[in-house]
Amino acid sequence: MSKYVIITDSCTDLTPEILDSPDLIALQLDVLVEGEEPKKNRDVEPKDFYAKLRSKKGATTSAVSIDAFLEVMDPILAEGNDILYLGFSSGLSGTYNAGFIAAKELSEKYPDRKIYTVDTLAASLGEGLLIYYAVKMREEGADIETVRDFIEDNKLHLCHWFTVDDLFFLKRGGRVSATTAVMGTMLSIKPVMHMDNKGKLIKVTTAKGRKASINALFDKMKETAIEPEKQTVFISHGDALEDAEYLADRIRNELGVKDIRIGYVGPVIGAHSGPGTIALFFLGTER
Amino acid sequence: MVISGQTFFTMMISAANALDNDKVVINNMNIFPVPDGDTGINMSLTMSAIKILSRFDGTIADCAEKASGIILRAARGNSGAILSLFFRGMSKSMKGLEFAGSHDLAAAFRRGTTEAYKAVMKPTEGTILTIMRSCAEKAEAVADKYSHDLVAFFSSILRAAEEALAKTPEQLPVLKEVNLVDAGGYGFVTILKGMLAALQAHPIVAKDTSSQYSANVFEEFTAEDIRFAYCTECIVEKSEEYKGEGSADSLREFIYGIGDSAVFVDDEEIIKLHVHTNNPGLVMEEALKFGMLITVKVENMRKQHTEIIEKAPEDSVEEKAAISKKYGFVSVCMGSGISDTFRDLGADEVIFGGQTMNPSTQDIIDGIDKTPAEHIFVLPNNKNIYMVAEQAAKLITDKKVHVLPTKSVPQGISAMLVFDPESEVEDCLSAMNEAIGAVTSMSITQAVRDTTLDGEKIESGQFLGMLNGAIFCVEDSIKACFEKLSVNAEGKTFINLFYGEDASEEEANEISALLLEKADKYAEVNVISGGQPLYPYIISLE
Repeated sequence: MSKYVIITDSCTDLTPEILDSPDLIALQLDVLVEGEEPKKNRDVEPKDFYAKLRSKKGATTSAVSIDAFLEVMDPILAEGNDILYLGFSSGLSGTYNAGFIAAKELSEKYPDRKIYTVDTLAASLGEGLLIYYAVKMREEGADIETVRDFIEDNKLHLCHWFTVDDLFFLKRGGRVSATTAVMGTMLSIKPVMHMDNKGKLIKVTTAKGRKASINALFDKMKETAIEPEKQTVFISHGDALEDAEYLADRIRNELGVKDIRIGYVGPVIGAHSGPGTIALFFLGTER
Repeated sequence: MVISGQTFFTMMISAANALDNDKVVINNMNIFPVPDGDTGINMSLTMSAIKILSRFDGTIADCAEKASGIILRAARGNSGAILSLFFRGMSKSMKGLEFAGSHDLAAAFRRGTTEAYKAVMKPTEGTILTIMRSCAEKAEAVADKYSHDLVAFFSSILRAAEEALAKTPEQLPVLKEVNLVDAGGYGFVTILKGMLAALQAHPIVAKDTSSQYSANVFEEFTAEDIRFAYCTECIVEKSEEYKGEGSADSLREFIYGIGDSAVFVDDEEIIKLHVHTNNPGLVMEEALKFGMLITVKVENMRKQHTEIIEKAPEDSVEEKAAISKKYGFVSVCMGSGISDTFRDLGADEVIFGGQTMNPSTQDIIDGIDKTPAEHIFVLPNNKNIYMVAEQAAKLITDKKVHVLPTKSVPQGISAMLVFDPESEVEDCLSAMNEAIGAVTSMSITQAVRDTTLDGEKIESGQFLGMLNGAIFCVEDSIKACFEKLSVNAEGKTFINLFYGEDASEEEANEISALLLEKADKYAEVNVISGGQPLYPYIISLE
């Protein structure tokens, strides 16, 4: 059995302890803050970045190019290794498509090598949680097909429930439909959103108040989580650690999960979700 | 002996003048010691609308039809709505008549009474309805006897009305407690007096009532439908330091806070502003801080009011919006912050009105006309506006209008919060009705005179803590009221506190903390500057 490298992108919002695993490569999307030079996601300090968003600075992102994928993938294959590419939702970025095209091209060049691509239809620590599982399985000796099948079979069980403080950012970046609206911002009415089976962001309902919106995430998990006590749950936040910890405490106390990890919504995603985003990721019966 | 259309018209005008002259007296017959739902003003404005007709020469049927059509649209408040339906009933009864004799008039009184009763879901005796019915009974009883003497006929109807009015305190305990007769009933008697006077060839003319206002304890609140007297406009040439767009936000805030109908244009070089306010001087003083005044215009709208009333109705026809969406909302409220909240929740039109100023049927029709939706939900947000809103809904033919029974601002807000534009109309209505029933409304207001309510003595200056429209407690301070009211926050998770024009944000925050203490552990409070008059606090709790 040949060695395989897991390739992903910088939309996973994983911390270095996981990202630095051997044979895991995360291609970097670019973040462009208004009036600044473009930077790779990992070179942007989140706290700083959110401060800029709060001061009304614009931020855009750009997908990974086919070339960038070719550059990373080619040498791996040339060395005789296989590739499992687990990409950011095609519903939100052209990155997966670029990786898919690169893989197609290289499979002609290296007909004996295995190159598998999976559109995770996931984002942020949701995608991160899938990568986390993939890396763990590989450490435990699973082969490339087993890991690929596990991700394919489970990706639509990977629930993303999140709330944003202000829909402005998602709308500006075109990441929600233009008709998505929340009435009652003066009364702190907040959207409760999720990622659907097509990897797109959908407003499911609204909550009366910030706290209620975070409690709604908890309720969704309580409703659909599969064996929560065995799960590792991820929570990502747009510079709102206190709220993330509040949610973690409720989950810990009332659902008793195995582990909870909290991290920033990284700049690439954060540019579109904005400050104050709280997102909860777990395995459930359905998205 | 018969009455012609012309005579009937003179009688109606005389009745309108009689009401107008007595409106302050009628306003003061208010059980509730707060200047709200002014019956005198509502009835007077309802009747006065017919003055746009300067003369009338047609048949009595035409006159009644025309007058009742105008009155119907001008109706304000429940007393106005009932009155307008009475006249509509009269008009239906007199259809086809050139002149009316005693039997025709008796039939008209009967029909009017029937129509008025129909309008009220739970008719209460001891109100204007009782007076109307007594008149109809008397008219039927004496129609034969006085068929040759209509003055005697009307005099005996008036006597019956006065006797019935005198009995109203016996029928309504709340009236007896404060030793008052029913205000709406009194208004109806006043109308009959005006009609009789005209029949006796001494029609009542309108007195200048402005002197009565100053003697009135309610001061500005009884002064016609215009709450802000001066239409104030100025153009300011910005001084050097304020050049550039958007540099005058603080002035904008000031303008929005000082009155209503504000328009504020903040350009590179100039500021253009328009506002209806009682303090035009303050507007100019504040504007001067930003530069030189180029033009200034101040007009007294109360003076203009008469002219507006005389204007032909054709001139005031509002533009109708073409239907472009399925659902729309028309909401009635007072206070700029509350109005902004309704707009933020998706209300298409917000009509100014509430406790002290009830909008007319026509005001609500205009709001509906301007809303480009197939289904329109009207939120009256006040129990004294509901009937008029229903009346407006019936006059709309090109859209489906649904009047929701919201009796308070919190109920209106809760209804909008559960609205789902994707749902079918029946589902929307049932969800909203459920929300209206579920929300708790609290408010605070202050008594302006001594009275006794439900056996409890209330002194002028004391604060009334209201819970879902009923008095919950009477205390000497707002704080003391909330100490009692806050029990009702138990288990609530979502609280919106609107502080009024007479309350401070600081106190509002203290009160919100008090409520949070009692509420659910996950509860949240929004503290919003509502800007409403008379009610320092209006609070919704879910």
